[in-house]
Amino acid sequence: MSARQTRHRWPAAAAQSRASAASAASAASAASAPSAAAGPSAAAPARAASAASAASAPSAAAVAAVDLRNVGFSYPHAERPALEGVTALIPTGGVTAILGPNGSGKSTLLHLLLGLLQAQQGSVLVEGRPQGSYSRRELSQRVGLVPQNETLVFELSVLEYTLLGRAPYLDLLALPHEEDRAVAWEALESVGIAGLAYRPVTSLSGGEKQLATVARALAQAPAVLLLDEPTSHLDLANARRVLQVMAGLRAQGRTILWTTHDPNAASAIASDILLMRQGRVIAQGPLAEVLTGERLTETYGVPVRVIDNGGRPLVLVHE
Amino acid sequence: MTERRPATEIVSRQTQQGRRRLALLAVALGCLLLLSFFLGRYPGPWWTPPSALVEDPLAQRLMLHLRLPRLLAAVLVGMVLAASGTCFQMIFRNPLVDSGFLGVSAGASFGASLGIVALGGAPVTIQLSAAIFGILGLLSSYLLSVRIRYGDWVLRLVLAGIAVSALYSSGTSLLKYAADPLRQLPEITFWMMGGLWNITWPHVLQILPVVLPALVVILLLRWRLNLLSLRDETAFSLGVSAGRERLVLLLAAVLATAAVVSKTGLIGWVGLIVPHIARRWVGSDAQRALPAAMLLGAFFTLLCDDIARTALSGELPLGILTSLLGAGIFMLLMLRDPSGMRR
Repeated sequence: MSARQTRHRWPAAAAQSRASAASAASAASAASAPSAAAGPSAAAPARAASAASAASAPSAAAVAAVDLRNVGFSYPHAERPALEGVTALIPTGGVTAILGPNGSGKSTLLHLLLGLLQAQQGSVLVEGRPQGSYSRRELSQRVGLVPQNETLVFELSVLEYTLLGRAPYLDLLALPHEEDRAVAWEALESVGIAGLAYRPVTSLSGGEKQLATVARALAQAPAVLLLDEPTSHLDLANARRVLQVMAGLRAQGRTILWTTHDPNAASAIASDILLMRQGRVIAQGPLAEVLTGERLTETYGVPVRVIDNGGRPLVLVHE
Repeated sequence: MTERRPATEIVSRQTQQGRRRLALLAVALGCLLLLSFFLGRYPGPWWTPPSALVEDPLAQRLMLHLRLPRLLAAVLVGMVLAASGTCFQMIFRNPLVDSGFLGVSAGASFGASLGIVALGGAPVTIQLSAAIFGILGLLSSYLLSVRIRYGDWVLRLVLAGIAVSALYSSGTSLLKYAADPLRQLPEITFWMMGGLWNITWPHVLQILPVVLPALVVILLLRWRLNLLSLRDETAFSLGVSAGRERLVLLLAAVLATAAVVSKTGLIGWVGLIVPHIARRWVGSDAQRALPAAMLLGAFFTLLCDDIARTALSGELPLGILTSLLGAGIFMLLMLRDPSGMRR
């Protein structure tokens, strides 16, 4: 298969009706199952449909972006499993925040979805297909990562850096094509830093650098975008900017799964919450149902109170 | 979402400027090559007139059988050292490494010294032994790095390279100590200074089968170098088989370096300094920085060799010149740019 054929882009975020999107997604996923050779191109309409549907219909698509079923994982020589019996559904088009104390298995879960680690028990489905049935390249067309602290050694420009996100669609010997530039440019525009395209990444502020990383991952046109604590090392203003961009991506209908230590950041933009503690899922579901004082107290082991702040939960730790 | 820009507009600026500068470098290299062909100490001290090529049979033989292969060798050496320097710097995410790392150069020196002292000192033996020990240098660095239980892959490999280099250097010192001070020691010293004075067509033709494919592989994979300069986790998330691609590129870089070094001796600083200047000139994206480094490396080495063979009536060792100029430029760059070298 040539690189040209496998290339695809994010659809424009046109609002589509729930029913048509859901049926398109299921039809396309059924078609993609037997055609492993034509994998990425066959799956393209499914992704297009599901991504576009999400703005209007979170968690309603027929195929969840990620489906974890009783997943277990242990690091060698570890006393207890890093993940145990994790069952969770990451809805297409939703913004799902994973909350939990240090060592709760958040990062392990992200690495598992990325394919860096393999689940030892249970199964991981990505767009309805077992994760293991994708090749490395196919998986990287579906799962994009914004790592916690991306460090660039060489002074690539923001555009050059964003173009690296097209790697999953390029053959080993291929150079980025003009269409890749167009996709990269769209990604830059969707996070609002197209104006910085020709600046070296190394000269950006922490927040802008994080946004460049988000753009690079978006250029992958992933079915699900993973962000590993995207705001943890940023100051208040930069963190706010990144969260605003994430809210914008949510409005564009993109599927996001992110880890955070800040329940209020999660409350600000997440549609769904996954609470974890010691490798187990405490609770999962829509924001308002899960982000309660009782559950957060159970998760973090400190008394937590949740008050209503203009429709959004505000999390306070008791003195 | 906004209208999609016409792709040509996005290509603009950086890329076009980079292309212009690449073309400029290529033209400059071509001009220098032509100039160098007529530069030399026969019949006069600086210049061989083009007419001599027709009229003077001795000048003709000298230019076609000695000067031309030497010029080509200089171009190849510069290209190989700069290309592998760029590879090493990007793969190890460290702008301050070159083939001196990984035990390649140290291994090759040891191999050459061993050839001179213990294996009879025939040129073929020296070259083969240098190449083998250069590769052994990389191999032992790699094997050691796999077993070190400290730091990530990149750091481990660099640490292993330092240790292996030190090992080979002490071996070379031992060989120098044991060498016959009248016969062998000068030869070792001369080899370690590096030069192109004995290059003839057979030499060039011998290294071409290794050097050309290696350069082609590196050139074809040049955009991937950007991906390999990312952290492992990120490269993985982009579907890059980092380990395999790194191995292919490193192997190409080391084999080409060992082949070149086995004919010319050690020529320092080209692999370190040239990639920096290239990045300053066309930007850090390896898609342009790598070809620019190769052209610039060829230009730099050719210029140094021109000086080496014409400045004095005797021959100046090329390695000394490249080190002198390279280290000078390096200091200049650091003084002029307080934020350090261009990465």
